[in-house]
Amino acid sequence: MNSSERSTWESETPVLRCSDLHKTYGSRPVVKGISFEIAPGEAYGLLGPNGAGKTTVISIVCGLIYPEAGSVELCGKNLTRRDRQLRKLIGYVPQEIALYPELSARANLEFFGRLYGLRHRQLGERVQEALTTVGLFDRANDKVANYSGGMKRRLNIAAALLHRPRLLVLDEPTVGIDPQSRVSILDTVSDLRDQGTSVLYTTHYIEEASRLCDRIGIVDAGTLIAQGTERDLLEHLDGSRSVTLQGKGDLDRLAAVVKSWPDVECVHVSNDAIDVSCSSTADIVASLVSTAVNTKVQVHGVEVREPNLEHIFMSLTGKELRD
Amino acid sequence: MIIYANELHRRFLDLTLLILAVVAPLLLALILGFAFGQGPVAKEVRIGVAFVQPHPNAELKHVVATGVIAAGNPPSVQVIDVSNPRSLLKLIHSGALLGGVVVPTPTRLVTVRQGNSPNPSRPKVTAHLENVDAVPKDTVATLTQLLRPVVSPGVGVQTNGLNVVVSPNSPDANAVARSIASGISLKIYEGALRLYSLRQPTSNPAVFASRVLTTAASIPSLPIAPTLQVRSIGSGPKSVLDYFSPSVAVIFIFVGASLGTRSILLERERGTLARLVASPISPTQIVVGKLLAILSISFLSILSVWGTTVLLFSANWGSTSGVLLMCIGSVLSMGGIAFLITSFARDEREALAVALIVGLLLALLGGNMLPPGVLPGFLQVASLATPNGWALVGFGRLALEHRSARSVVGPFSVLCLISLVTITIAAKRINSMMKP
Ligand SMILES: Nc1ncnc2c1ncn2[C@@H]1O[C@H](COP(=O)(O)OP(=O)(O)OP(=O)(O)O)[C@@H](O)[C@H]1O
Ligand SMILES: [Mg+2]
Repeated sequence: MNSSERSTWESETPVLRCSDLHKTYGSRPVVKGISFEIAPGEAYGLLGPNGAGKTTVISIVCGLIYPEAGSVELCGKNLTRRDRQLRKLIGYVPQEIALYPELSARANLEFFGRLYGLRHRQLGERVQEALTTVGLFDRANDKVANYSGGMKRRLNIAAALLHRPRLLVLDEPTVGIDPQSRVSILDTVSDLRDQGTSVLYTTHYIEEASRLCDRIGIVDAGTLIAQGTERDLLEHLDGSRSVTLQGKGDLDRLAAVVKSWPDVECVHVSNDAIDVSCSSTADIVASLVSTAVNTKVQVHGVEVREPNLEHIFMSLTGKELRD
Repeated sequence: MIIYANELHRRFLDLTLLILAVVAPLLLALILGFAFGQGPVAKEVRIGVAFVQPHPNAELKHVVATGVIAAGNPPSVQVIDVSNPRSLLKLIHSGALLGGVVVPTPTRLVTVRQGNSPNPSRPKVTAHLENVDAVPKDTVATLTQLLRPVVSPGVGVQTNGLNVVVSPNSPDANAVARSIASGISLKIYEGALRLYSLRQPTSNPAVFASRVLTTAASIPSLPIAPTLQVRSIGSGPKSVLDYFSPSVAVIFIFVGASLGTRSILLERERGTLARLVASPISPTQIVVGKLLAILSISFLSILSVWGTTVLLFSANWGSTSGVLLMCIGSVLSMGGIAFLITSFARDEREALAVALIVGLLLALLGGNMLPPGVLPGFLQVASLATPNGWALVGFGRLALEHRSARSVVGPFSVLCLISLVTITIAAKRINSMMKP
């Protein structure tokens, strides 16, 4: 396809459109009416705590399970059981490492490439390309069983790139790996996005979502409670701040008092600190310190921070993203 | 097709292909062979026959040949012509032959040839005198001497100038060689007796016949020496091997297939199944590819058992096309059951545990553990509720009754039906299992 064709198509049709998805396991609704769209070349992040339903949404998008209600459209076409060719638009990176440990990296990729109809020279070229992209070219002939955790994660991504999908779907691709591999994976994904691949990315790491994603959807208990660019979301919290007071004493009693104040949205107590999110910080610092002194809390320090996604999540759900 | 190749490739790498298709069947065949077969040594008893005379004439050869036949040894005894007594000794020494018989020069032999006769009921008999000295005189003593070996074949072997040579560590071969010698000897005396009767001046055959009968009656009939009984060589235990090998192989392919069908559950647990389902390949293609791979490996393994028992232990499973048919049927049905179990299991461990129990039950019920016909009546009927019961019916017809391939079409169809039902149910269930 030539570039002019592509741009007109792109401007009209989103690569992915999920409309009002519902999924129930047994009697428990797990996805309750989620809708979102991903434009061509856009990276969209689904941010949410454990069990929020992120993997379930992804499974529906990739056609692994079917929703009771709602629809998934890929480049304007409905994803059905029958239409297998539509699946070539998606590159799916499962949450767990889905590779054959007894095969070499190359053999794994060759197999997955064949599933997508790649053959002969083209297959060989794409395998090289994917291995290079994730930086595993020189270990291509090693058995996957002998790979480190980070290398397996990278290969897990490479397996989804072979057929050059329009939409790359990654389900928590950085779980349980070292910071170095994480950076490398994030770089890889943002490079792909820059080259025009759309990305659907789930995580419960705020830094990842804010660094990689053009738009973010916040999921909790099966519903999309907010979505937009990071800036949009932060505007929600316009003027709000987060204050952390470090100290020793009866922090729980202090928290109880603070919670009753009008502007305070959320209070969180940890071992030796108390976090307060509120819509204006005008006099909160002074009040907080004086109340602390009154409740016999020994104050070690006070810190005021700009709001971030974590605060958005807290202010929307009243709970923390990670427990 | 891609799934099929991938499955086989991975089985090849993790060695299960090698183990299931080659190593285990070989071991199985070896155990069966040593338990029920006689090993390669027992395959043939080779006995050589050598003539002292460098170029024996056709009559002498004929006498020896009929003597060998008269010895009545089982087919596993092979009689080989050796050019002279010295090479006979060498061959026995080297172990190439287990024993031999040396036929002396015809100076002391009398041979009789039956010529072609226009009337088959009265063959024209021509006698050839090789040595006039050896022609017996017409006395009662001579007649007795001629008749004795006919009445008691075990006696007088050595008196006819035949030498029996055996290697000391083979009592079987000893007995076989002796029986061959005594067969040859018998024929020689028979020839002499016939010649003797032809040369009688008596014109009345009835008078001569009654003389022969009374003389024969006066000779004490000695029992055949027990060493000449070589019955046990050959067919007895081998037919057990013929039947037991397929019987055990059927259970073996069930175990192999159960291990194979676990692959689907393993892939689900590992997450690779999600990748397959997300790809353009349809779930049906995935199931079919895997199933074909498992069935091919099972088929290879039963062929290996067959090949090994036949090549190493000269087992005879029966008609080749019949055996092939039964192998296909067994592989399909046992694969179907293994597949069904997998489709009901929640995880890979459960599948294995259930498969082991079911395999054992099927083996007990189907009668794989017991010799044919040992089961009480109601269990024989119950065994027909199992695919291995039917497999054994088919293999039994081929191996024990030596029937043709046509006789196993029935059992084969039943097995195909079983596999059709089980695979259909299993495929439906597994199709719905194709979720992460
Ligand atoms: N196959 C299933 N059967 C029953 N319940 C399920 C199944 N899969 C998921 N669930 C439930 O659905 C809910 C959402 O699960 P999901 O895996 O989508 O969460 P998630 O957001 O991906 O969580 P995590 O961050 O831990 O990966 C969970 O409560 C989970 O227990
Ligand atoms: Mg998940």
